[in-house]
Amino acid sequence: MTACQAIDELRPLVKSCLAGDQTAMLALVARFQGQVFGLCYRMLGQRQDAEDAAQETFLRVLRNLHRWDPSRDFEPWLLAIAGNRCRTALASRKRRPNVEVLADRDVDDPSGHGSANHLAEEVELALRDVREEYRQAFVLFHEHELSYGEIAVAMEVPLGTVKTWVHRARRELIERLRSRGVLEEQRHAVS
Amino acid sequence: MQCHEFEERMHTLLDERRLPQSDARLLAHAEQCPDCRLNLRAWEVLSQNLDQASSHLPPGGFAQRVVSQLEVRPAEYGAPTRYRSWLLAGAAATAAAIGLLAVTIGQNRHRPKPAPPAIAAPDSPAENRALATSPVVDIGPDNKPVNAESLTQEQSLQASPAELSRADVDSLQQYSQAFQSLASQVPQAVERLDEVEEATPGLRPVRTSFSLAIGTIRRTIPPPRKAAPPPKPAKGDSSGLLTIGDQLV
Repeated sequence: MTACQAIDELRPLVKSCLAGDQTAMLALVARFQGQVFGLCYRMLGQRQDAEDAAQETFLRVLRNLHRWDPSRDFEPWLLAIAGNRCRTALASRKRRPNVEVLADRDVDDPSGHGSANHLAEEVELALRDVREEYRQAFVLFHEHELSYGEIAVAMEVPLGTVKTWVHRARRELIERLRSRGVLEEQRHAVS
Repeated sequence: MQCHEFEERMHTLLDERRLPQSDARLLAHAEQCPDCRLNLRAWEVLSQNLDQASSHLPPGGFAQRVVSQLEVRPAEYGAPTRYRSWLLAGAAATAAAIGLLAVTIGQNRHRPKPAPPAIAAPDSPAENRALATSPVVDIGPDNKPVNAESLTQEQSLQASPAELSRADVDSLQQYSQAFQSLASQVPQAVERLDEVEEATPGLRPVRTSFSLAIGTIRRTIPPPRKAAPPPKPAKGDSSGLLTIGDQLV
């Protein structure tokens, strides 16, 4: 589906939401909840915090839907709001220094892929150590597949800055994975 | 290929959303260089886990919870906030204007009326003169106040007791004259503001309020800052230019 088709499909849905149609609102939230929750989870590292931030994001989006410019893509606008919510949550978390953030672990692992889970956790920890602007730009580019231009608009920074942030995030993540010996363990596990 | 070229190429491929693991030049260098090989492997692990993370989903019933928290009021839904703020500003301005008018009228109503006997029955020329030197000051077309003594005796005598007793009507005329004079000869009239206030006591509280407000604003405005020193050139950069990323980070 092209971007134009997606916007064409979205316009009537948004129009119904603006008219106060609750079914349309449910459909809109259901359609984008994965993207928004995914970004919030990556940014905050906790399911509960991510859920709160995603909920706030959608409430803001639904209340300010009239501000969306239909000639532009919906997703960057939505993810920009989600990013702002996450940064607010991170700032309030910093003001409470005693709160220790622990990575959520998937308790039930039906596949029994302990090693894969360990790697996923390592990646998550590495991401958490990266500066939040780098992390947001990196996640939007590599996970949500937004273009550099779209990220620049969403984060309200120049395109060159976004590129620099994504490159630095990559370098730092690779460095962290290497320094934690994750790749060595992998090699031994394979051999 | 050098190691820094390997890194640059890897970023370029990733920017173009291509897999560095399948690039022949990168693989050839990675075969010879263990450090770059490890970097390539690290990216492979990272990208695999990024793909897995995209399947994160919120708990069930998330959409219902969001919509239930939203108070839907279709009449107000989507109303532009700019319109609301203009409406509020308009209401506040109207209320302020009404309040000012009420204060002015109240001041005028409590003004003491002139004693009727002194004006009502002018018998002698001395009494006429006393009447003529009333506190009403009019400013003539030649920028000079029209002295009440310049009025003829006949004009003074024409004032009937019935007309003079209508103090409210007179004071409104005085207001009108005073404002007209003020508007036409502002620089001169400002100098004689005290005289105008004598004729129109309702202006005094307004003037006092404005003086207070202007005084407060003057006290609160900070003194002008000194000019900031010119920025220093960046170290080690002969051209004096920095990349956007360097400035921000």
